[in-house]
Amino acid sequence: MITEFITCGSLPELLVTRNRLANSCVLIAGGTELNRLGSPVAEKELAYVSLSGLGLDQIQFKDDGLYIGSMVTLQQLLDAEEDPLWLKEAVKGAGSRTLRNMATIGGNIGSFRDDSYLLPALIAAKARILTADVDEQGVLIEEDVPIREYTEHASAFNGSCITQIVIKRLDRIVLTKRYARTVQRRPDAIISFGAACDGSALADIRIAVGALGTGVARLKEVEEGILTGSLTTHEEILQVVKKTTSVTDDITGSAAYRQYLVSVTIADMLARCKQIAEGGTCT
Amino acid sequence: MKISCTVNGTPRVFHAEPHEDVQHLLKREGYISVRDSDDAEGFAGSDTILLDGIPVYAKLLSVGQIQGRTISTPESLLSGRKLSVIQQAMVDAGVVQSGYNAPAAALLLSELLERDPDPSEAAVKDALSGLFNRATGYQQFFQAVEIAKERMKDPDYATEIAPEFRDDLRVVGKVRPKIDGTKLVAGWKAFVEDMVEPGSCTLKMLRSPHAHAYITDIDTTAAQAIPGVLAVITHLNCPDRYYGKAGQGFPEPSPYDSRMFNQKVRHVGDRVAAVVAETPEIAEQALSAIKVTYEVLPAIFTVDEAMADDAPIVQNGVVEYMAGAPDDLEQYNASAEPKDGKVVIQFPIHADPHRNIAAGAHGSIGDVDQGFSEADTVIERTYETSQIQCTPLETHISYAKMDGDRVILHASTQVPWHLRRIVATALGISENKVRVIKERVGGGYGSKQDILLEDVTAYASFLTGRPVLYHYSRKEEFIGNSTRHPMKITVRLGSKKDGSITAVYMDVRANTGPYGNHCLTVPMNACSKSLPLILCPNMKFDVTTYYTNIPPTGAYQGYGAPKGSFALMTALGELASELGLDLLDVIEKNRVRDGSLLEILKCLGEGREGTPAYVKSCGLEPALTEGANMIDWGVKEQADDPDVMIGKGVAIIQQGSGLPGLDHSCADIKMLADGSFMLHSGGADLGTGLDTVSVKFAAEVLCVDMGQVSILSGDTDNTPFDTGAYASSGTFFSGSASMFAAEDLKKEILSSAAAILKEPVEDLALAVPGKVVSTSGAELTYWEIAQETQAGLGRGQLVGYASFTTEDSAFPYGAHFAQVSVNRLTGEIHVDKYYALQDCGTPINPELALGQIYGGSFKSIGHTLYEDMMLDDQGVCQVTGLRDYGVPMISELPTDFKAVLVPTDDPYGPFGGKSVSEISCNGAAPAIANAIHDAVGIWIRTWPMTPEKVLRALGNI
Ligand SMILES: Cc1cc2nc3c(=O)[nH]c(=O)nc-3n(C[C@H](O)[C@H](O)[C@H](O)COP(=O)(O)OP(=O)(O)OC[C@H]3O[C@@H](n4cnc5c(N)ncnc54)[C@H](O)[C@@H]3O)c2cc1C
Ligand code: FES
Repeated sequence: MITEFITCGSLPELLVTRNRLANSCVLIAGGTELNRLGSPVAEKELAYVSLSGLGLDQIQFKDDGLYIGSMVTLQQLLDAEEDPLWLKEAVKGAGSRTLRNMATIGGNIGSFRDDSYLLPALIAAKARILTADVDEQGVLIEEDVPIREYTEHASAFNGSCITQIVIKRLDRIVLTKRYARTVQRRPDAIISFGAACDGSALADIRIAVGALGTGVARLKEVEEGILTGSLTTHEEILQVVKKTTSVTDDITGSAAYRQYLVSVTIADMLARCKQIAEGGTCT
Repeated sequence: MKISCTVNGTPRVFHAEPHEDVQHLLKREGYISVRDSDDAEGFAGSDTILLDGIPVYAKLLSVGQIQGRTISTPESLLSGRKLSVIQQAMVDAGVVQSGYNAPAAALLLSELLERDPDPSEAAVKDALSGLFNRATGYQQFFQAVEIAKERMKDPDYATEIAPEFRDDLRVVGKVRPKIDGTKLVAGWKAFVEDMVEPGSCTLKMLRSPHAHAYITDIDTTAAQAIPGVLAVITHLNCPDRYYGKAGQGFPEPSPYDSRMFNQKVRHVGDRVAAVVAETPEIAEQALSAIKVTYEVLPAIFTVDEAMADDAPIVQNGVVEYMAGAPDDLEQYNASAEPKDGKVVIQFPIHADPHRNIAAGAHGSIGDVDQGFSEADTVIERTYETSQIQCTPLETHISYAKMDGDRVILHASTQVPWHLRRIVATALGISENKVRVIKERVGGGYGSKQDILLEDVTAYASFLTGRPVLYHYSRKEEFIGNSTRHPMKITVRLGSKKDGSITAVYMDVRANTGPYGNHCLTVPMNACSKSLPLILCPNMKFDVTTYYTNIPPTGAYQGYGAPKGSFALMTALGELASELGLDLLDVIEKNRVRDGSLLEILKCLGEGREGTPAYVKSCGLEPALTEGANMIDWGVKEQADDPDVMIGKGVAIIQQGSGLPGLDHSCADIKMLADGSFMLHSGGADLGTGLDTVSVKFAAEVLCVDMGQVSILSGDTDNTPFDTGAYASSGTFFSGSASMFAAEDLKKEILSSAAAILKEPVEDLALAVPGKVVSTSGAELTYWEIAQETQAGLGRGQLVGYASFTTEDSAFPYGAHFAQVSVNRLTGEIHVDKYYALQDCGTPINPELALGQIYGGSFKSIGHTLYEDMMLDDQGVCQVTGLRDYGVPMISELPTDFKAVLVPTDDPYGPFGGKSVSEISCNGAAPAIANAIHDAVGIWIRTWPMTPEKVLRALGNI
């Protein structure tokens, strides 16, 4: 239950407030995760500290990459001309425009959902997260964290405030696919595949999967297997997926089905990435 | 906290608790069009508002988030009582039917048109992507936007909204706005929730966590001691009466197998105790203070489990018969368990509750064995359908209050009179002590035919003397609402090499769950609405319905027909494939036609002896020809993606128009003092446009504009009896009653005019606009007649009355065609084309009929491909919300979706009309199953047809 709704005039003020209230508060962006039925905070007594009105809702192209404010909504991401196509594709996983009008990119990352719309694609794209904090003297501390680290050590970042999401490697190939029976039903699986082009070869592969019931995760063994050339077919990938993921049957389908989807999609994405790299159309 | 914001242009200051959400705030402040139909799931969009001009879900906003902001609710679209352009266009296009989400849809589309005055179909889809609309699907929204777009440029813009029929009639068969369309799209007071008075109490239900258990102890003392708790009702203190919850005609074919509360719980979610309290919060608190001890019993969930020799018995109580008891009943009851209560059977229905059999039916024509022996090919296949939720946007709701010693029920029901009877029975009072007022129904689809919460709400008010509201949560819908009976249907077909069918056998095993709602009639309907599609002299069916411990089942649009049609029409596809013949040719060779005698119906009376019937009108021929042309039947399509295969399928379908010999509808119509008319119809318009049908009929007969006829319907105190809106009876029964009441009044008008004019009645006729004309040239307006008859010495107010019953049948037919793309690698299925061609006789409201076809077809596409209730091995429904259940949204629309009206003129239907809505649910499953086979060569014989099933059938996993 929400005990108080706090708005702040500046980011430092927000961070001080958040530090003061510590575990008895939560940052609120769009509120679609916090206020929905079954919200993770439904049973707790918490103050909401609002991220609104702090200028975090801008998308900017800078020399070193694309900077997306954490309060940018998913609909803004879809409408923005600057956004890479893969990001728009991932955003479309949120099938309701009304929801997209409310839901923010920061809130999406901060929710750490297993079926996250954006996290797998952002991991595949090697996005970075900029966080802000204040020290005891109220001095602003900003950190630049690879998203991989942010998700792998989620609890360490619990409560940290995301200010921006940065995509520096805009030349990476990123493919993303969300399988769901209906656009808005709980997804069966989400698979994102990212790679850099090294000449006509693929390098620096990142594969992230979601909606398998175990949190968004990288498939490092599959990445390595592909890079070393030991995994080329979906059957080979499937063996590794089976070994390295612990998927259980749920309402979206059996574990076998979802592991199959993951491996067949990775194999397909690999082939498409190779085609792109070989065609020299990487950028 | 204090919230300052601007709502609909007015600066407002609200006082709210920080935890209050904006939908709740707006609703309590009188913006009643901002609703919530999914308890903050953030899915259905009933709570859509504009925040600083952008659509958002109000329920997902906490009040702090609107500080200093600008809000527009659907109320902002109106100028006084005048609808906005898009609201009017929605009404005109026929997309406003049950209308619960119509205000939200109008708001979304008006924001779209503001942003993009010339939106594409993709933009419309995008704008409505966060809105659930079950009744009519979504197709007609595109047309509404087209109309609005043009009218924004030219207010006089007119276009053909739908084809019109019957040149000889003025309003019947013509496009006319649905008479309650304005009220619904505007978001005015219309639904039960809008009638709740301040200070009303809340009822909340404690539900069983076990699928099968005895309540061995229940302690409510702590709950009762909580201040603000008015009553706690359990099996220990509820009325000791058995009744059925299926709203069917009396005597019901469904057994009376439950009390208000039972000592035995029979499904997860079964009633355990009701708390009546001053506030919802107190009621919740009291629920958690009730201590229940259960003796848990082994449970069964499938027909196969129910059939096992050592199966646990779901209804092991004493069996009683109101008529036709077997001689060995005493012996039968020797093994009964008193804690199980009773099963009171109204008349023999082949029930054997102690072997988990709730009902059965068996019948045949010709010689089936002979038929199979004459066949060149015999195939036998088994199909399974799943448990499907109705998911009305307006969850079940009931509001009861006392008026002296009378219970007044504001109800969202399809059956006001059955509801009154069942409530009176439950409470042990006579029917005159109960009044049911049917409000607008925010989606029923069959589930509001059943008495799921009105009995306990009425009793709560009766007990406490207070107004009591009981409103199901969305989660309760999934455990406490009637659903489609899951069925296992085996079809055996015998055929000659040329595809002529020599014998048909159908074995239907239905799962009724814990109680026998519609346990005889739904499964029989699987046969009675499918077998007569095939003309074959040798047919046999066996129907058996089993009790199990799944959540309750009951009526759902199409009744048993979608399941029977799926099995029979897919089996026909399998036969055609086996014979190497084209499915359409096999259909053509065997199908029913104009003038056919449907002999099998003599074995398929609903709980009584049936009668064979002649088909007096059948539009299958034009439907099949036009549909085959539209879809390029026989042409193999190729996709760009080599993994994607395209296939086409078809199914023919039928339904009835009410239940001849069982249904009964009445209406009266009065001439008012100025010559306008007040029509009282017993019919229950559940959003489909039945009131509009009735008004059209009266206006047509009485030669006046529809605006001269007002209607009151479904109020048990003020309108005459009607069996209710189910079994596709609306137009045929309730509509006929209105038509004949108007005819009766016409006679009165003519004879009064004859007396006034002193001319023979044979020389007089009614004429437009509302007058009597004589061959002599004399004329009398209705105003003059009313003035004369209602003057002190006149003959009195002119009233027409009709009570309509019939033995005659009017069968609607249809042909549904589907084209699907199936990805062999991922199993994904996409419906590229869906064409639903239907013969509903004269389409009385063409645009509303199209809406019904789109809605029914789309619902059944949902059942076929996506929707899934999913119980775990303890019988717990894994799905508690619309999102996970998988209801299709606008994103799932077939790429090319067309409903086509194929007119015929039925001699029995009013103005040639037949039913249209239910039949629309029957085609998708078989048409899609046949199309999937055509695409990738596999047969999927169970619902839902998921990508995983495709992959398994293809051997990929
Ligand atoms: C019907 C429905 C279906 C949904 N389905 C999905 C789904 O499939 N996949 C999915 O990913 N999401 C889903 N969501 C959840 C949600 O809509 C999205 O994740 C959304 O992006 C969350 O953003 P928000 O701004 O609304 O977050 P909020 O609700 O405001 O916040 C969510 C969490 O993120 C934290 N947070 C917000 N901003 C920041 C920040 N700047 N820094 C640090 N922490 C922050 C909050 O403290 C909170 O813990 C669904 C929601 C609904 C209602
Ligand atoms: S949250 Fe939108 S209808 Fe419930």
